[in-house]
Amino acid sequence: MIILVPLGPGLEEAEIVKNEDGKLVMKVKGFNTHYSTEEQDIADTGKATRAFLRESGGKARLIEAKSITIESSEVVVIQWDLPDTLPVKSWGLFINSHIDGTLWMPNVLFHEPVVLGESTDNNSFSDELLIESLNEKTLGFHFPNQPRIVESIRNLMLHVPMWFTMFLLMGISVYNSIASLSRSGGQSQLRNDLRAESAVKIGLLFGILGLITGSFWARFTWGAWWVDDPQLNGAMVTVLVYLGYTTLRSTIKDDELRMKMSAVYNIFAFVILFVLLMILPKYTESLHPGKGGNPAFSKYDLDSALRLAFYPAVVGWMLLGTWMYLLSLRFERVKRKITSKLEQ
Amino acid sequence: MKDVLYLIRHHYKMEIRSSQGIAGLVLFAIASVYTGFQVVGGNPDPDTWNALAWIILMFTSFNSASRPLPEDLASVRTYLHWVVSPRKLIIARTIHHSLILIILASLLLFAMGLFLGTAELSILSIFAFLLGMIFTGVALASTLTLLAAISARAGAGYGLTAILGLPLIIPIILVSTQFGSDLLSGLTLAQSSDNLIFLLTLATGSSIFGYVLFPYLWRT
Repeated sequence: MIILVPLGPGLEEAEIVKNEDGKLVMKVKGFNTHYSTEEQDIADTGKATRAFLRESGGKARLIEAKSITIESSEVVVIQWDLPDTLPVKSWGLFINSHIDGTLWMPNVLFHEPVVLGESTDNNSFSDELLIESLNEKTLGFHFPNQPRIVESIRNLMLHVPMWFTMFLLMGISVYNSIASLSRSGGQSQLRNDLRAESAVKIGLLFGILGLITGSFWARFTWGAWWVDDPQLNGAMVTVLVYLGYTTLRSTIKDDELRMKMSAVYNIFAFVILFVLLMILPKYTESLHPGKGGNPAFSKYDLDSALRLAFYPAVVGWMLLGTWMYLLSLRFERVKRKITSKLEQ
Repeated sequence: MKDVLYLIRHHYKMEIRSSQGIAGLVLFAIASVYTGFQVVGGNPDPDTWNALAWIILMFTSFNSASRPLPEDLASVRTYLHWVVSPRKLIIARTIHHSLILIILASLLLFAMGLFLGTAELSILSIFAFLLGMIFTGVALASTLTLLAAISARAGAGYGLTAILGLPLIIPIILVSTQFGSDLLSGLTLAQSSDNLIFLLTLATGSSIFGYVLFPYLWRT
């Protein structure tokens, strides 16, 4: 599902071919768009493809294109007649077509040789009511197309649930560590200890996978495999802390001592995990979505299609993680039983 | 309270009696500064100066934390188990360790000033920097004391303290270096005091953890 669902249409590039004497020609490249000149397509909706320049800010007035030439399903050449006076220099681009609905790209035009001011010729600007006469989106199930993220939006179903799963498993682990310290009676303590260990092992695996998927995403969207960022530092430190936990366990031979030491360290580690990943990055500057004043994805682009895939992905990864944890726990129990048998 | 003070005095006496421990730490700090002086020459640029100061403080604190204490011997532990509560012991240990780090930080800054110059810090800023080093020392001491106790109980010594401790003190070092570079770029103490508050929070948090969790390490 992550791979098969198509990405929604978006505008990738707008190149100004000609801009003189009030004539503006722009070549616009789309991504997964469906422009078409087929008579049938237009007959279905009764509306042809239209393009507009939109004033950045202010009254957001629109200038409709004079003509549109569709070169392929992804490339169109659009021509405008610009009036002599324009209210602002900076303009965005809207393209409306019968399959894709309305696509938008900000700041495609900085119109330099321009007389700023209110135009006397109000006919240059399209009527606001025109919005209602535009095509609605008729596209099927797809993921939203975000600038810069583009196809990598699919990583949302891998990267984010992996950290959620890690939190779940580390939570299980710290619960068992606390239980193993507060209980008395050797056997049940050791059972809790074994649970804590297995949960950390699998949680660590998910943490490392989270780092790897995150690193790929960072390469694609920010341009580097690793950047100096509070969220990333926190993630790396967390993984190192839990690696320390496994090292600590491997150095101690005595069961009961190992249980105590690792439980104490695990409680410490979980609090550090919480502070570093949940609290600290929210109050510092960060590139990461959802941190340092950035909105999380859900604020602006987790649309209904993405939710439909994302929530099952979260539940699915968590169930997979829990299953792996139970499997590893059973394996450890059997191993312990066999070694104790052998020692007798 | 009386017990805690007595324990701190006891730790202090032990340091004086076997003074090679603390002398080794001082030597380590000064030798590191001197090595830095040999490599970068008299007056390094502020970033290098900043990095050297915090790295040396960090490793000094590791050395200081992972010294073998007489209490970690099984026989002494059994004795202490009967005469003193573990909570009082961890408080005393943390305070003692913080005091040592405060002294070492001051010495370190003095040696830095002697060999590497003061990176164009004003007199006021030097004291602010010292304050930052003291806060960092306290934060490091409160984190590393518990971890050193864990690795001493595990019988693994220096290596394990580093493995367990290094990731946990990265936040402290990040905040401290930020504080240092703020001062070096000309900000005043008041403008950069957020970092100090954060260090204090970290120190308090770690101390509370030590206080709550240490008895579980102590019980046999």
